[in-house]
Amino acid sequence: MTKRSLKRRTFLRGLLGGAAVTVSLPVLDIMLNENGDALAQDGTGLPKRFGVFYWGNGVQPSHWNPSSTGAGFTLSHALEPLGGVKPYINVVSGMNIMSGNERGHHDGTVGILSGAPMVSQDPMGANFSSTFSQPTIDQVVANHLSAGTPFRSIEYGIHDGVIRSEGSTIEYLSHNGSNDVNPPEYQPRALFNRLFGDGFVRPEETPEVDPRLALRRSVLDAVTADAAALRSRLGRVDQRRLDQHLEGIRALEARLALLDMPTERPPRASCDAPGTPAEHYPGDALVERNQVMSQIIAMALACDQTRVFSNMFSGSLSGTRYPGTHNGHHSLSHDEPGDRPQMASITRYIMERFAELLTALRDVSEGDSNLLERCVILASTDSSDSRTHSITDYPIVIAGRGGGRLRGDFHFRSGGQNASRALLSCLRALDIDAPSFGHAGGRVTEVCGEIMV
Amino acid sequence: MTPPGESPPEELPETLTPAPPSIRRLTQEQYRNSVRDVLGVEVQSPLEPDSASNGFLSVGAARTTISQRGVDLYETAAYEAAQAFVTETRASDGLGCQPGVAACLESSIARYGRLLWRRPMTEAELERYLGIAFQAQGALRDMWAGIEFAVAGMLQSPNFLFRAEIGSGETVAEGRAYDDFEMASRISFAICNTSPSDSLLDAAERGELTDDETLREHVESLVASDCARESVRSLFDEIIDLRQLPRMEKDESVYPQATETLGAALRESLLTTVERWVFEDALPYRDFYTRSEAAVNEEVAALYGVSVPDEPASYPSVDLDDRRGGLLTHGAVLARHSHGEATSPTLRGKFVRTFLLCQTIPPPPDDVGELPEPNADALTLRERLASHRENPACANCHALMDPIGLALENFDGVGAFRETENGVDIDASGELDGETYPDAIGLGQALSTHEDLADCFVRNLYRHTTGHIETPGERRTIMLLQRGFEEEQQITDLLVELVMSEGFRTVGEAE
Repeated sequence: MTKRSLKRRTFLRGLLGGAAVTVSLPVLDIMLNENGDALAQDGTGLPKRFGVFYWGNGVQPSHWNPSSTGAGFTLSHALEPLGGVKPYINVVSGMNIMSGNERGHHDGTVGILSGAPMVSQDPMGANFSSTFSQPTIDQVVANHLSAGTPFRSIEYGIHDGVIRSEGSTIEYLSHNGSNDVNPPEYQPRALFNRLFGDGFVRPEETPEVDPRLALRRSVLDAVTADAAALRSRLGRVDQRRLDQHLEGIRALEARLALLDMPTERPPRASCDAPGTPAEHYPGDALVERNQVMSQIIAMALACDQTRVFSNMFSGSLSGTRYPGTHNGHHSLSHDEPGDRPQMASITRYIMERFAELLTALRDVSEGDSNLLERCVILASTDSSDSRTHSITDYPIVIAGRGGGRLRGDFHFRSGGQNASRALLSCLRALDIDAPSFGHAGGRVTEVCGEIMV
Repeated sequence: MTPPGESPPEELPETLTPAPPSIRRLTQEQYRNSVRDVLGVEVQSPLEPDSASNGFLSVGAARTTISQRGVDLYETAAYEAAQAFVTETRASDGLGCQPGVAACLESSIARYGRLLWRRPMTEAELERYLGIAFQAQGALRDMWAGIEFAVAGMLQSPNFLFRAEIGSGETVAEGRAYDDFEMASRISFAICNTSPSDSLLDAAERGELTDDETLREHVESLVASDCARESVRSLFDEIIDLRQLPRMEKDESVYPQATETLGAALRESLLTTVERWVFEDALPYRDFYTRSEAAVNEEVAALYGVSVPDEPASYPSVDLDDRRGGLLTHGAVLARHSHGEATSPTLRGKFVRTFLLCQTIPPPPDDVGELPEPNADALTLRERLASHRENPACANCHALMDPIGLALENFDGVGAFRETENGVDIDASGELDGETYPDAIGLGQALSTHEDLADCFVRNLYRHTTGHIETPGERRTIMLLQRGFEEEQQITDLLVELVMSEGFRTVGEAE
């Protein structure tokens, strides 16, 4: 390839009715430096990304925990499906959630996703509910990684039969705080439209100039003014709720602005928007949904539409019916006797889906490596031993290598350390210089050094 | 839980301490109903999902906020609605004037702003949206674009998406009263689950909704109107937790009747049955648990072993045989509170305790253990569950739930009648707080005379309409409503008295 000077960003600017439209060109190889891992002009590194993969109803620890530790460990029965991406797998076992366990499924979920105690909403004489007391880790990470990307974070789910009567803890994964959630997309088409539909500029195309863009922004200004007037009449709690609404309005405005004026966002060589998925995937098409969603999220990261995502594969307490099993997942997680072959096959099935996600990320090359190399992905569930709702010896996988900060192909077995260490390790692997993570019993200041480089 | 029948009669507190205000996000139903009623448009596109707290979407709506994705969804829905509204209004000359004329544009925005925001717009607000309308007309060279963008904006405003009922009326002894426009919203959403009509807003403007006498007239006429049927349906949807029933996951090898449409049909059957009991038969609430009748379509009739009467009505009502009586024997309840491949006396019992009697079941102990597989010694679920009642860690709570659910064991996981389980005759006897019974009919009778049944319904209706779980300070209002409901048990009367109650009309200090 001939070396020549190329402006980092080239854009077409069309003006009609006050609106402008920008077209980015992809990162070309000549924009990378000799190592291929940074943009040549300013040396900005390719970003790191963070994800969460969560499923409900725990595991059977004897199926889950690998029998050997250290580098080159042997995968357990449940983890075998991750064999194809083993260089990117860090298994952390033997850690305990220390933020409390008043209520099965609830406390484990809140502990492993936020390192903090849950908020119990139990007025007596009504159904029990709970919510988070602190943001989930994906939102903590988004505070550091997401500036300038169109979407602060992306949430999706695969099995949508979640329990909707026990509060936000069970219904949603991603939380900004108490009762303040980021609901997921369950249909691939909806996720696609959000990321690559209206508002996404394909590098090689000249989009239609849209004079409505400026008007939509003016409308959002008016809505913001309405909110300010309303806010002054509200109490503290309601003000906070309205502020969250306002944050969403600002995010939409910023996204419209990206289409309306040139920005400093570098284009990406590996960005290749996926094709439009089918209109509808039935509720039980878990494999298909997961595969298509994995492709979409991989491209969302490659195109820098977002740097943070979470996948609530299945809900806590949910009676998901998996192939080859005779009961719903939650019943089986408690009632299956003996060696629990059905629970074993379900956990393997879920790890197969997780492997599909990781493979989709690994198969996107970026710079001198691939997307998964720069990712940190936390995978876990709502309890350890599903039969007893225990939260000791917690099942945790941290996938990806955080751009070289995580060892990979490693199993660390802890002797009962605080599970929040795994979460702080995720932050540090993303170069987030947080002195601590978690609250109350879940607070830690130490990482899980064994898996870090 | 409260031990039944032992507490001395409670004294009526002398004063009310009202709950603090909380703005409420429109539920999906309220959003769609409002846009339909104000703009004449059915919104198809997805909206921010509802979230239940303590089992109530309305409680969730008062706790949650609007996510970033929600803002996007509401934007898309707003333009969809506004464009459809413009198309329709343009064709029918629905404004009665030309929006190219400034006076027409202004009066139209003021008119729809008042309907969408459920109060008159302030001058500053009118100016703001008029500004957008002018800008749109100029940029797009289309006078109707002004209407489109103004309406789309008002639909995205927190003034539409949130119900800001915060107590703007006069200060009263107990706290602050809701003003007339806040009352118009509260009344309309409570009774019709939609935004107030033009005429109710007119009544608010005349001060008629803060005056006892005129308020009662308006409330009674709304409760007597068809729109109240919607809110009663939505209440039972909530209490019996039927919203997820259309997507129930049943094992077809165990339940061949469980087609893709059965769940939705069972839900519709129950809601239509209840709607007729309330509005056509004036059936007392206690009789909901004994009356052997259901509204059925072909699929539900087949499940119940009855034939559909030859009537033009959708879901005609039919008497059921003497093995079924009351809502607990409706397929909707039985299927909703079962597993995918088996019944669950425990889940069914928990439902009755939690949602029909407002009692609290403690969480299961950590080491919950295993339920044995059917074996020669334990072929029925009753025999297998016996182990729970032998284990002291389990016994206390299972003794509260299982004897209720075991009386429903003659009905399988989708609600079909059965005599046997694994070849053994089913024993459907049980006990509810001292009343014993041989079968489901007896359970229904015991439930209908249970002292907590009607009281709990009052609490549930209060939770559903006010968007919060009643606080101890509201005990006075709750008790007065319970006393009024006790004898006749007419849900329509209760709805009127609830809206008239001081708890519904006053609010405490903001948190």
